[in-house]
Formats: sequence, C-alpha cells, structure tokens
Amino acid sequence: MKKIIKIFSILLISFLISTVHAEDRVITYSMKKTPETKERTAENHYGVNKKWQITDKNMPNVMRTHYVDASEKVYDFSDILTDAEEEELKKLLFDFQEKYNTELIILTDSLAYSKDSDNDYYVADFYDYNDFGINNPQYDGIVIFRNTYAPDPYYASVRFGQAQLYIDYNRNESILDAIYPEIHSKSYLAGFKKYISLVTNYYEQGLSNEAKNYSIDENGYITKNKVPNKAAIKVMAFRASMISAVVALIALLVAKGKNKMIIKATKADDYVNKVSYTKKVDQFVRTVTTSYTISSSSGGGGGGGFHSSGGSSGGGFSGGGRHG
Amino acid sequence: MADVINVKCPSCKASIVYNPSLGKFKCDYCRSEFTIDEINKVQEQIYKEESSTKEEKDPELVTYKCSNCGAEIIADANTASTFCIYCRHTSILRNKMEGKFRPSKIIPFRIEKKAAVTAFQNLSKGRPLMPKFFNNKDNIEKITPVYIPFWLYEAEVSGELAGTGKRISSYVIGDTHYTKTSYYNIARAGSITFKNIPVDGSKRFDNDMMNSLEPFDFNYLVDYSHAYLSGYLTEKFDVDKDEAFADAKARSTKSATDLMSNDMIYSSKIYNTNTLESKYTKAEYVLLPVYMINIKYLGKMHLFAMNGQTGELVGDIPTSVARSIIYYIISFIITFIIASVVLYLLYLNA
Repeated sequence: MKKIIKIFSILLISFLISTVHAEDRVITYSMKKTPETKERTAENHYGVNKKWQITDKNMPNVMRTHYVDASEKVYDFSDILTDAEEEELKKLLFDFQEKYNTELIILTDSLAYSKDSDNDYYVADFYDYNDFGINNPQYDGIVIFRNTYAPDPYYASVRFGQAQLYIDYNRNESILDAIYPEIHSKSYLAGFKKYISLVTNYYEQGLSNEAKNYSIDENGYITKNKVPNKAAIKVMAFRASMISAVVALIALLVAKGKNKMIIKATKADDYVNKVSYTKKVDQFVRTVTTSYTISSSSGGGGGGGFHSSGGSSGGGFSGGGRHG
Repeated sequence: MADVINVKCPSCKASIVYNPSLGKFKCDYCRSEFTIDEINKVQEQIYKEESSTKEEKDPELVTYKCSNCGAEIIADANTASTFCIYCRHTSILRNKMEGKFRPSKIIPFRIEKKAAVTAFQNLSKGRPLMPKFFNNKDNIEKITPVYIPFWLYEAEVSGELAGTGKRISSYVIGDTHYTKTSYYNIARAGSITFKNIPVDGSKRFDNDMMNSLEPFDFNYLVDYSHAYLSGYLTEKFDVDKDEAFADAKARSTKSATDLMSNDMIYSSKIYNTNTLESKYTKAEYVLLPVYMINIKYLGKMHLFAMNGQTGELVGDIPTSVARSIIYYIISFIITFIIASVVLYLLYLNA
C-alpha cells in the first residue's frame, strides 16, 4: 500500500511540476508579443510616408522590409527581450526622443548576411521605410541592431540625420566597444541600457569640434560646411602661421646666403695633375652576420571620419558594427 | 735709375695702356695698336733715357714724381704701380718689380672696366636683401683694376692612408632579416701631384676672398712685362712662398686624402694611419688680374673682387635690416595666403 501511495505521490508531484512549467510556457507565450507588422499596399503608399521616392529599383527593398508601428521603439524579432525588459527600454527610448527630438530604436532580427554592411543596409531600409523620425527635422534617429544570426552574430549602431553628427564615427566606435561585453554575453537589457546611456551622454556633450564643420543635407547625407567653424579656423590660422613663419625664415636665410659669396677653399681638386699608387690593399678579414625576425603587422584599422552611406531609399546614414 | 715707368705710345709718345678686349696696347690719341713685344722694345729705350727722383720719407710710404705731370705720388711699400691722383696717369714703380719681386708670369686683364661695372650693377639681381646703396653709381665708379701677387705651386702629396673598411649588405629570407658585415684591412700609398695651386701673396687681401675668385685659366699665363701694368694698380707680394704654401699645403693634403679615400669603396671606413704630407716642388710668382671695389656701409668697409679674366665676382654683401624685415613680412604674408588656401582645400577634401 505504501508503495502504491509513494508511486502515486511521485506521479502527482511530476504532474504538478509539469503543469506549472506548462503554465510558465503558456504565460510566457501569452505575455510576449511579437512585433506587429502591417501589410504594405498601394493604398497605404506601401507604408512609406517619408519623402523617399518608391521606384522599381527600391520596391523589392520596400516590400521585404517589416512595416511596423513606429511608436513601438523596440522591435524584437529575435525574441531576446522579455516584455518587461521591452517596457523598461521603451520608457528610456521615449524619454530620449522627448528630450532630443531624435528617434532611438532597438531592433533585433536573425538575418543571414554575407557582408557586414548588409546589416547596415537592412537597418537603413527598416528606418527609411517606416515612419521613424517622421516628425524630426531630418528624420533624425539612431538604431541599435542586434543580428542574432547564429553562425555569426553581429550588432550595429546606425545613425540617421543629425544623429550622424552627434554620434560620429569615433563616438560610435567607442560606444560599440563599450557595449561589447554585455551584447556578447547576451545580457541584452544591460547592453541596450548602456547603449542608451552612452548615446545620451554624447548628446549632452553636444557636437564635437570636428562635427561642427559638417551639416546634413536634405537627403540625410553628411556634407562639409563651406565655412569652417571658429575652432577649425583658429587651428587653420595657427598652422598657416607656423608654416609661414618657418618658410619665411628659410626664404630669408636663403636670400641672406645669396649675399655671401666668399667660400673658404678647403680642397685643391681642380689642380690635381697626376695620381700614382705604390700600394693598394683591400684584404678581407672576417664577416659577421646578424639577423632578426620581421614582425608582421596585424594590419591597419578601418576608415573613419564623416561620411554617409546611401540607402536604397536614396537617404544617407552612417553605420558601423561588431561581430560578437 | 728711373723708378717710375711711363708706358708711352711708340708712335706719338702719349701714355698708352693695355686693352683687355684687343689683347694689345692701344693709344687713345693716335689710335695705334701695339703688341707687348713692340711696347717692350720702346720701353727699354725710354728706360735708359729717363730718370726720376725718389725721396724716401718713411719706410712704409715712398714718394715718387709722376712722369706725366710731375706731381708727387705717394705709395706704400707694397704698391708696384699706381695712379697719379691729378692726371690719372699710371706710374709703374720699377724698382718694386725687380729682382725677386719681378713676377715670372702674368695673366693680362681680359675683362674691361665697363664690363666689370655692369657685372657689379647686376649684383643686386636676385639679392633682395642687398642695400640699395650698393647700386649707387658713385660706389661702382670706384671699381679699380689691380694685379694681385699670387704664388703658383706645383706640389706633391705622398704617404699612406690605411685603416679598416666595412661592407654591409642586407637581405631577407622568409621572415628573417639578415645583415652581413664584412671587415677589410684597407690601404693606399703613393703620390699625387698638383699643378698651379694659386695662393694670394699679399697680406692686404683676404685669402678666402682670393680663393673664391678661382679658377683662373692658367693657359693664358704669359711672360711678365712691366708694360702690362700700364693702366692698372699692382701689388707686390709680402708673403713669401714658404709662408704662403701653408694654404696650398692644407688644400692639397685634403684633396689627396679624399682621392685616396674615394678609391677605397666601402660602406664605412676608419683610418688609423695617415702619413700623407704635401711639399711643393716649384713656386712661381705671378700677377693675376682682379677688379677691386671697397664700399663703406654703416661704418664698415666691404671689399669686393672680380676675377679680371673670368668675371667671377665675390664679396660678402651686407644685409639691409630694413629690407630683411620687409622681405620676411612679404614672404610670411605670401606663404600665409598660400598655406591658408591649401589648408582650406584640404579641409574641404578631408
């Protein structure tokens, strides 16, 4: 009888445990919302309310881009965040938009890619063919994208409009390096929060001196200002002064040297008459050979500076990312 | 004994001077032209007939009478021919050019004073810091043709130059860089002879300046004749050949050392034996043609010289402070404009 009770108890406990787990799964499933996507049709102008022209060439890009509600801010197609995490992040993203008139978007997806830049172009399409930044002067916005593609996970930070200047190449690289540990270890909430914090810090600092020499044109491309900013003018004037001071001094010394025509003669080569040798010795004594191993360089870094890439929409953006 | 030579035209007996362009003597009165041999023949005759008075008042200054106008000429002990300050007639002080002071050879002037003046006028071209004062016509008119005493040495440098030579080669095999250094005992011995190394024989002129006038073309050396001095100031030597050789010795030894060293082709050389020594085998006293001009600027005298044979002009031109400042400012402004444009273009293309 005891044995029967024991077996029954084990079965009951197992049933209860399995029921609880099943509820968990059900609860999780029921709580986690997949980002809602809408259908792009001619009636809704394929969901593109920005000024970009839809052409035969970019139509495939438009159609294969998720059409989402731009107010959601977090688009977790890879399902790496819990709803609670999403809500926590959304609040931060809304605050950022509120304060800086700049979209801040979190996007995750699993995308097979052959080139790193494929990630940037995917994000650019996602941003351009949805209503992100529609109310910002130059569709200003930033997307942190986590590509969970299993063979080669990747993450990228892609900026649009004025965000390309606030988060310039150097700042973007710095941010990508800073969040690597969290992203790589899949501590996504911590990683995205850190990302938001770092971006916010740079916005607080304002444009770097170098970035002040650039503007964003009507298509979202970075262009160099024809008139440099004051700091750049000061640097240029200082450099020009230094160069001029040195060149003028050299010119003065050369001109002064032309006034000196008396040169002490130390040799009498012009008057050599005859050379005769009675002894010529070139006797080998020994050879010493030394060697060292040539260290191979790991190669140079990538390019930087201020320039935009062009998306399929015709708009500009600045990308950059890391494997891991 | 006639101490002052007045070179006279064999035709009209007027004073006659050597014409560098013609390479002959030309009389400005009768337009006759004469070779040096023709002049010498007549001068010897005149020398026998004429006499002059000489009064020694000071060991350093000697007074003569101009054979042309009779005025007193005062010359220092080393002046061998000079001008009368009244009639501009050349007086050749014969006794200064006799015995050991008689040059064996001379290179007659080949450039006329007019050409020398033009060359001096052109001195300012390409020299923005030269004081304007130097172009003053009055200064340029002071240019004077002078025969400068030179010693021409034939010298032999002999001895040995020995030491250690290294030949270094590098090559790469795989990822290893090798440096191979081979050591050699090296030596050269023998002699190198030099011909016609000129050394200024007058203390009055700076050796470096006289060296800077080189080279002279010694193919134009001719036997000395007093007649060549007509129309020119002349100095006699006051540095004897042994003393003057110091300069030629240093130059010939340096050249010989370099020649021997260059014959030993190694990556680097260290010498532990150098017995090379220069000795002269012949020293010839010659007169070489030089135009001189002495210009006072800011209380300091600046001496310029021109090779009377080749036209080479030497001298240290003083620098005008005002012009230097203007030149610097202009250079600065021009460079600043160019640098600013370049930096701006670089800024735009960065």
